[in-house]
Amino acid sequence: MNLWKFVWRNLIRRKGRFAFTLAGVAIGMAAFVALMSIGQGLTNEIKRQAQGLGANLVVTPNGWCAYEQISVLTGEQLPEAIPMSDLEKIRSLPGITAVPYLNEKTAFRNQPVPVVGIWPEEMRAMQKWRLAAGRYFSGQDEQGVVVGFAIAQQFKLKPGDEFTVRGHLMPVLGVLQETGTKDDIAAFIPLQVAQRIYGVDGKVSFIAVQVADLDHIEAVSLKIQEVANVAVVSDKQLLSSILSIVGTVGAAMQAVAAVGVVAAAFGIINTLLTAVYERRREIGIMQAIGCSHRALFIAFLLESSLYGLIGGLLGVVLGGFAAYLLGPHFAAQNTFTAALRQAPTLGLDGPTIGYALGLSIVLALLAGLYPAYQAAKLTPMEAIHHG
Amino acid sequence: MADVVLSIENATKVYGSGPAATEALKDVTLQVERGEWIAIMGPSGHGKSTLLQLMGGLDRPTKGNIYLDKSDITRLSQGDLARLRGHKIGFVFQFFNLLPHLTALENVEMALWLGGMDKHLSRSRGLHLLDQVGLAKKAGNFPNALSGGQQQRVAIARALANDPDVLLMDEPTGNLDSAAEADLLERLSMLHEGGKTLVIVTHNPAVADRAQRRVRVRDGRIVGETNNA
Repeated sequence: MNLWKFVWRNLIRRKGRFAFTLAGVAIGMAAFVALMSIGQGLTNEIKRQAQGLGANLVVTPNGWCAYEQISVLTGEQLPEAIPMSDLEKIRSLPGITAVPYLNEKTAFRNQPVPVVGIWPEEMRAMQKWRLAAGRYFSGQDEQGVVVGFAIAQQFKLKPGDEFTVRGHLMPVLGVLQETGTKDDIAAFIPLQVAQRIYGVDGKVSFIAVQVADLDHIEAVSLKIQEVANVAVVSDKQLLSSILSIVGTVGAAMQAVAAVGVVAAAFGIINTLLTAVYERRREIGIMQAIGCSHRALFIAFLLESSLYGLIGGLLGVVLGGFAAYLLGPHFAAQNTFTAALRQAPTLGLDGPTIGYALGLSIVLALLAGLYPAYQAAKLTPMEAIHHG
Repeated sequence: MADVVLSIENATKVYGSGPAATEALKDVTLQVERGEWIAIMGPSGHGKSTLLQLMGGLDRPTKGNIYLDKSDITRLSQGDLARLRGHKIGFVFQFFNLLPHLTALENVEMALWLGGMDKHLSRSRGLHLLDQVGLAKKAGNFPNALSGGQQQRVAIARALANDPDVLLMDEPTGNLDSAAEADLLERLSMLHEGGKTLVIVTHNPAVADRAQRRVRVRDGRIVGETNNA
């Protein structure tokens, strides 16, 4: 006999009550873990997209909101607002490479597909694209599309097939190799062609800028704003402003889930208080044969912490599984994240699991304090004479 | 001079307070010698059990002192009192009071564990104790699979776990049939011969007849003592 064995036997002696209390903790924790893990998965995905941007600075029109900023990363349709004249002024600055993006959208076989107008050669140099099939654009004005890897797979496109951009038929010239970024889910056409088709002559959505000397990013940013009436954000600022929004949403969802966990903690209190009442007589016997108040207190605390540990473990497994299955669905429902890659991803990592388990155990311990106190304060006589 | 193991001096116990206060024991003095067998008798509700509980440190007197091995147990902290109950006193109650979710052996091991014995030693000691009360074969049974007599024997094995000086029993035969009662009395005699001090609260004349001394309690006072021949 030892303390753990004794506590375990007590824990499972009312199997139904044990199971239901545990289910409460497990479900509460599962919801918490699922939301945390979905949030983590989105954060990771956004970070990956930011790395795939390949630019140090992003030049946007003044007054863009976060939704428009995240679209830079996701490849969503954007208003065209920077005149080409500004682009030329920026390009004339020394020590930088600047490439324009015109983010539009088309419907292909009744599915929305992002269409991005680009400068073919500059873009290929910056993104280090390689082709999986076919060929790349041969000129700035070629009527044809190069499609991302995922788009080619989705529509079973190969070089020579036809693609429509706003009703304009165009041949598929080539298919890009998989990049793991938003480039996989877009179709690219030369900027001039895009401006013509979408009727936005002389304007682009945003400009990605690579700075040769990373020490001069600040200076370059100021210079750009001197020569043109635009806003400039660094890739890091862009990332942090997007993450802060996703983080706020995630924290709000976690707070809601935490309510479930707290409710489950009250379930533990309830179960243990009932147990203290039922076991009063036994508590008296224990005291008569030499059990101290302190040992009783610890035994009840351990019992409640086991609810936290086991419920937490079950919750992590269930929640991780739910996030894996439901994560892509949730992401697709959210305008901020709809355009991110929506494959099932496991966002659970060591620290997340540790955090969830720690929370579960600490809450369970807190829940055990009052019942443990109630058990420990019984005098042997009160306990034995009960019932 | 007699070796007094347990001494109650002018003990008074009041339950409740104000107009609802009831005096369960009134200025009781009693000395128990080492190796003695005492039966405490008297009508129900007159303070027998209260006296036993004060002797065992389960409760504290409102006034007066209680000495076990010459040290005043009314001055002990809760923790020290629990330790004392675990090591120096063995309790047996009327309703067998085994923990229902533990086997016979585990019930005994529980007392050994609380007494601080190592897990591996406590297993063999527990089996030995159960063997002494003739229940080695029932070691793995849960209380609900044991008869009343068997449960009471497990309770005695548990009370003996840490080799206490004094065994305090509250109506140990109260729920036993006559065969189990006879068996229990035999075992009590053996314990007494082995040098244990026995203090037994009982209504049962058969139990009282075996004791060396009978103490009569009425209205919270000791009203008479008889020494058995």
